[in-house]
This record gives sequence, structure tokens and C-alpha cells, in this order.
Amino acid sequence: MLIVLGIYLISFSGNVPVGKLPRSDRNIGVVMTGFGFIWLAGMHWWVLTPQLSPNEVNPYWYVFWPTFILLTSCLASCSAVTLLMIGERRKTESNTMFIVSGLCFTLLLLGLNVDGPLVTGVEFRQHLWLAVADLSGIAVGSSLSILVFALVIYLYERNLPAPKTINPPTESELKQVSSLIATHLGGEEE
Amino acid sequence: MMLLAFLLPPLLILALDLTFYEDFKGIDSSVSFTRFANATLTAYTLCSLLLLGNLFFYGESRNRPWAPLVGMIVATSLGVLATIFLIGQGPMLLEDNGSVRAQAIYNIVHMFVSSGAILMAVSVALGVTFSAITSQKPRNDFELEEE
Repeated sequence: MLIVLGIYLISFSGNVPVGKLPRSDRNIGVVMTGFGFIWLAGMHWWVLTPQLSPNEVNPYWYVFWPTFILLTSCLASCSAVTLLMIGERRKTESNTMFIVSGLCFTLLLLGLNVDGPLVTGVEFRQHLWLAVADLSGIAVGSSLSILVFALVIYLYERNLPAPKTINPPTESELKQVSSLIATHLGGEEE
Repeated sequence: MMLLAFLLPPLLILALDLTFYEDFKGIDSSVSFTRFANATLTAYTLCSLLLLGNLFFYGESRNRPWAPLVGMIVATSLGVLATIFLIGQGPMLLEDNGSVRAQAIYNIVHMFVSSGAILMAVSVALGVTFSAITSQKPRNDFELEEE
């Protein structure tokens, strides 16, 4: 929540056409985002690790943390390349995204090699590769479901009857339309 | 190129493992395959249920509500049946859970946690991109014509 709010404050204190926030909110946003990431790091390497009972780490923390940090790194890297490929003169923004991806990757490397009080590097490594398998499975399953949905729509649309054709306008209808158009043409007299 | 950039971090970790440890120090492939299979089946089933709702509105707009609904119910049923069948094959897809029902519930809760992490990662990545763009000075991309 801190991170999301901080990013919102940073974004909307910049050059936006609507909803612009005061410039001072930018510093608050930076502090909130930084504190949020430090809090998450503290949940791995300090005493803030979520526990079900003393010395028993919440198993869903093992699911959330590697998934979040890995996907953030991947998406930031993809965003950096996208800005270079699609954007015009976006080198500065691309460098920023590369830095964000690098920071998240550094956190990953630290997690793999530096033990926390309750989470060891070996355990983090196992759950990181489980997170990779999880993300791959979610991507494949969602894509299959979307493909099935698209196939159902395609088969149904193919079996729809052709739209009914209507008769061309009659002479009287054409005359009526012509008179209506002639009545409403020209605005200088109004 | 964008796909390669997306896959860069896990590929880098793999490359570092192979360089410094001369071996993939990951996890037993059967354990990761079990997770992959469970995630695939659960994502397929939950996504199908979500799209079933969308298909209902689509059927209403086409004045034939039953045809797509039946099609999607079949697809969803296939997913649920496949999940129960594969999980019930024995320990192949049962992780640390003792029964099919426990594994199915674990899969669903696991999916919600993973989805939360995915949502948060997407929000952070998009938000930082947007904040990087709005942090720049306004640009004048159009040259004024000389009068």
C-alpha cells in the first residue's frame, strides 16, 4: 500500500494535465516508496518476517515475495526495452526502468546468497524456481482458457445467419430525403 | 526483443548458477513440474469461470444466450474434471497435501496469493514507468510554423 501510494504521489506531482499534486508530494512519494521497499526487505532479512507461530514462517510469504520481486524485475526490464523500441526520445525513462530492474535483481541475488534470520538462501532459491514454475503455469493456463473462449466465439460467429438485406429506397423516399437535406443546407441565413 | 528482456532476470540467474556452481542449483524437476501442472490447471479453471460471465453478456447481445453458455460450461467442466483426474492419479500432483480436496483448496488459495503478487508487481512496474515519464520536462514536439 505504501509503495502504490508513493508511486501515485510521485506520478501525479509531475507533468500531468489533470489532477496535478503539489511538488512537495513528490518527496513524500519517494520516501513512502523507499520505506515500502525497505519494509519488504526487512521482512526477509530482519525480524519482520510474517510468522504463523514463533520460528515458523508463513508459507504464503514464500509464495508472495519471490513472485513479486522476480516479476517486478522482469516487467521493469521489458518496460525499459519497450520504451526504447516504441517511445521517441525516451532514453532517460528507459534508463530509470533498467535501474529499477537492476535493483530488484540485486534483491534477488542477495536473497539467494545472504541468509535471513528465518529464511535461508537455499529455501529462497527453491521457492524462487517454484515461483518461476507458478508464473509459467498461470500464463499457460490463462492462455489456454482464452484460446478456448476465442474458439467458442469463433464457432458461434461462423454459424450465425447472414444479415437480412433490405430493399433499396423507393422514389418517394428519395424525394423526401432530398427535400429534408435541401431544407437544412446552408447556415448563413440563420 | 521485449520477450527476451522479460525473460532476462531468470536467465541471468540460471547463467550465474552455471558459471559459479557449474550446475543448476535449483530444485528437483518433478517438484517444479508438479507446481507448474497445478498452476496451469487452476489458472485454466478460474479463468474459464471468469470468462463464463463475460460470455453470458456476449450471448445476450447476440440474442442467443444458450449456445455460447453451453460451450463455455463444457470448457469449464473439462478443466475441473481434468484437475480432479490428474490430482487423483496419486502423489503425482499432490504436493504436501493428503487428499484431492485439500490439494484443490491449496491450489486456489495459492493462486490468489500469486495473483496478488502479480497484480502488485504490474502496479509497481506500470506506476514507475508512468512516474518516469511524467517526471520529465514537458516537450514541444511540434515546431511552430514561421508566420
